[in-house]
Order: sequence, then structure tokens, then C-alpha cells
Amino acid sequence: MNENEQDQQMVWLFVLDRPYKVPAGLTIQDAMEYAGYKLTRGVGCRGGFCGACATVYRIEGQYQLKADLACQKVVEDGMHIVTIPFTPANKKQYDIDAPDMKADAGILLSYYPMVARCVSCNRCNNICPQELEVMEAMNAILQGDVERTARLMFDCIQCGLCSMRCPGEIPQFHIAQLARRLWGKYGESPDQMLTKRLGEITAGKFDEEYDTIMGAGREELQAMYDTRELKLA
Amino acid sequence: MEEMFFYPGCGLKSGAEGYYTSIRSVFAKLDVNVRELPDWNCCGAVYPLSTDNLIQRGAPIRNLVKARSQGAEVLYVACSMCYNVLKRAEQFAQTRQEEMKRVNELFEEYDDYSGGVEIRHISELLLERLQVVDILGTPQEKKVAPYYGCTLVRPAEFAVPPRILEDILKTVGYTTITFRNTDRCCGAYHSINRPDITRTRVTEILTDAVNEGTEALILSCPLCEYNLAAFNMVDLPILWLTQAVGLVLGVSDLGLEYNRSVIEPFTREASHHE
Repeated sequence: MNENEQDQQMVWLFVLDRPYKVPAGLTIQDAMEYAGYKLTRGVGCRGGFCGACATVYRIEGQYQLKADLACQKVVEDGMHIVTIPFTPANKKQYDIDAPDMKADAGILLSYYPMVARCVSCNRCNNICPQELEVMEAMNAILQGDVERTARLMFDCIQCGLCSMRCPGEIPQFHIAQLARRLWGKYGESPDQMLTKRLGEITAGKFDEEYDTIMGAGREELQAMYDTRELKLA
Repeated sequence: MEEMFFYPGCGLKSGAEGYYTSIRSVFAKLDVNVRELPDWNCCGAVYPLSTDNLIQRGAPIRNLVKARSQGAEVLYVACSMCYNVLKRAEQFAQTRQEEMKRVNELFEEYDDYSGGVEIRHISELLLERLQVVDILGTPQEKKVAPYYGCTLVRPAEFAVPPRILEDILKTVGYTTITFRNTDRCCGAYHSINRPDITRTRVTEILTDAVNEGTEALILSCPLCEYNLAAFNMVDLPILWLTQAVGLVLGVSDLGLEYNRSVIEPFTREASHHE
């Protein structure tokens, strides 16, 4: 036992069934690195946004398999974990610019007909680390409402845990991505701010500033960074 | 204004929009507000007959659980298939306590369900309201035939009242025809893998109706409508129940533009008030 461990509360963590004693309060990801793992897969942004670190766990003495993101979930004593770097769910190839593409639920059903196998068991909602209404999003497709699917699944990070749990073999996260793309491209009206800014860029509004930054040396760049104007909300 | 808790089902949102539009308009005319059950999900489409695969009970019973959590005592359904599935699921919930213990585990966010929401078809409320509200259609010669299909009348213990569609149509002024194939299966999902079966069935049903003098077929099932319209070789006008009622009551906004069959000149003549 090193000095750290005397001061700090430690918990037991089981990674692929090997026991490790790690400081309480660490995230699963930090705890794995503390235990000596060098993470090359199943790790990404470390900020809960990329969905690369889906992790399935069970607490000693409990029977339920639970899941969360390794970069967000804090370790608990007796936690058995396995990381799921990605979910090899069936992802269809499509050309979003193809002439027959439109914001229509029929397109989603033609690529992913298994949506109709949803039995509304709610397992997807229960496991989603983003707490999204995945089941409702799939039902919205059956109801012809692509916009609802796109909006309900806006915060999906593609971890794939929903499809791992789904008894209907539905790749919800891929379907939601197609729904967002279809709605974004063919359903939603163009964003005014974006259109304005693209116009400014095309007209060369930022060219001079851009050239200045690209032409600056390291010290000059550092000085620019240190004296930059901070716009605090 | 009376309120009806309403379960539309997927069909009324994609394909049978004319049915939903006309339900809203006609019930508004009859002083009934249609309140859609929030966050409803697919009913399951086909009532599961296996007794040990309980997860298939989840979809219909989840809707019942949601309806109860909204305070609904009666949930009205328009689609014949949804009606069939939900009504049978409600009976399952009331009578199969052992299985329901396990089904209820699917609904951890709600209290356990053991029944309590009565499932009725909209035709039942439609007839009741037509009998109390003092508006009558123009008596006319137009001959229409209701087509029940399977799921509105089978199995018998879940059937709507006998000849209720005829009663509704007669009440608003139509002459009705009850033809031999009125409750014969349209071919259902065979239209996907064996369209020849569905085509044969539909042709027999429609030809029979036309031979009896039918000028329009009236129905309430989106799957039947899909099949009948797809193989409608005789160009018989096919209308939703509430569209037929709305036409003679002078209701506008019946969603007729969604219909897949040629419905002119029937609709123009039926709605012609002298």
C-alpha cells in the first residue's frame, strides 16, 4: 500500500475480471489508466460527447447489467466493467445527395425496415447514457414524422448501446443519424445566420485576418493569443 | 364539449391521413374534441398469439398504461387493427395476472397495470353522438357498402356491435348494402410477399360489392384500404367511415385529397345539398 492509498478512500474495480484497487472518485476511464491500461480504443474526447467509451458494468452483489460512458461514470466499489469500443451494427450505405432522397419516413424504412420490429420494450431508453427517448424516436418513424426522430435524437453520440439491448435488432443510432441528415438537408429551412456567415466568407471578409494569423511566427502568435479579446457571455 | 381520448395508430399518421383529418372534423361537428394520447407507440400491429413470448405484450399494454396515466377511462381507436390489438391486450391485462407480473417489469416508470382502460372503436361513439345530436344528413339514393374486413369483427368477443357501420350510414341518410364479402379478409400482409393472393381477394371483394349495386365502399382499416386501393381494378370509390358521414353532414375538411382511389364524382354528388 503506497502513501496515497492511506490518505485516500480506495475502491475495487474489476477490468475484464482482473481486480484493481483504485481511488474513489475517478471516472472509469481515469481508473483504468490508474490501473495501468493504455487506452487506444474505447476512448475519445474524454468529455462525454463522442460516444467512443461506452462501457457495460455490473456492481458486485447486484444482478443488473448497466452501461454508461467510461469518461463520465465515476467508479463504484465492486464494479465489473467491459468497454465497448464500438458496436458493429448494420450501417447502410447511402448517398445523401441522391435525387430520391427526401425528409420522408419511407426512406428510413426502406434502408432500415427493422424499425417495424420495435416491441416498445423501452430497453433502449433505459440504457441510453444520454437519456434520450430512443423508443419514441423509432415510433415517430412509423408515424411518418422524420422531424420528431431527428429532434429527439439530436444529442445521440452514436455509442450504440441501444442497439446492443434491442430485441428487435434495430440499429437505432444509425437510423437516427440518417434521420438527422435527411431532416437537416431536406426538411429544415436553411439557417439564416449560417447563410449570412457563408456569404461573408465568400466575399472575403475574413481573408486579411486569416492571412495575418497564418503568416505569424510562434512568438507573434503567442502574443496574439495572450492579448486576444475575450467575449464572456 | 365532450372529450374523446384518441389513439390514432401509425396508419393514420402515414397513409391514412384522410381518416384522421375527417375524424377531427366530423367529431368537432358532433361536439366532441379529439384528444390524442401523448407519446403513444405502435400498438404491435398484430395481436400476439404466443403465450410465452411476453415481450410482444409490451407495445399494446404500454399504450394502455400511458392512457391510464393520463386519466383516460375510455380510449377510442379508429384503425381496425389497433382496435383489435388494444382491446385484446386490455382483456389480457385484466385476466392474466401471473403473466402481467412479468409484463409490468417492462414499465418500471409506471405503477403496475392490471387493466382499467376500456377500448372502444370510434364507430361506437359516432353512432351514439349521431343519435343525440340533432343533425341529420340529406336522405339520398346513394348506395354505399360497409367493408368490415377481419379485425373489427373477429374474434366475436371483441367485435364492434353487429352492423354498426350500416346503422351509422343509414342514420346520416345513405342507403346501405350488406354484401357477401363484407367481412372477408382483404389479403392483409400477403400484399408484401404474395401480392397475387391479395390481388385475387381484393378483386373478388370489390367485384362482389359492385355487382350488388355499391357506389362507394366504406371502411375503417388502413391495411384494408391500402390493399383495396392498390388493386382497385373496378375503380370503386373507397372512403373512410368518417369521410362518408362528413360528406352528407356538410362537414368540410375531410382530407379527401389523401384518398388513393378515384372518389369523384361520388363525393361531389353525395355532398350536394338541395
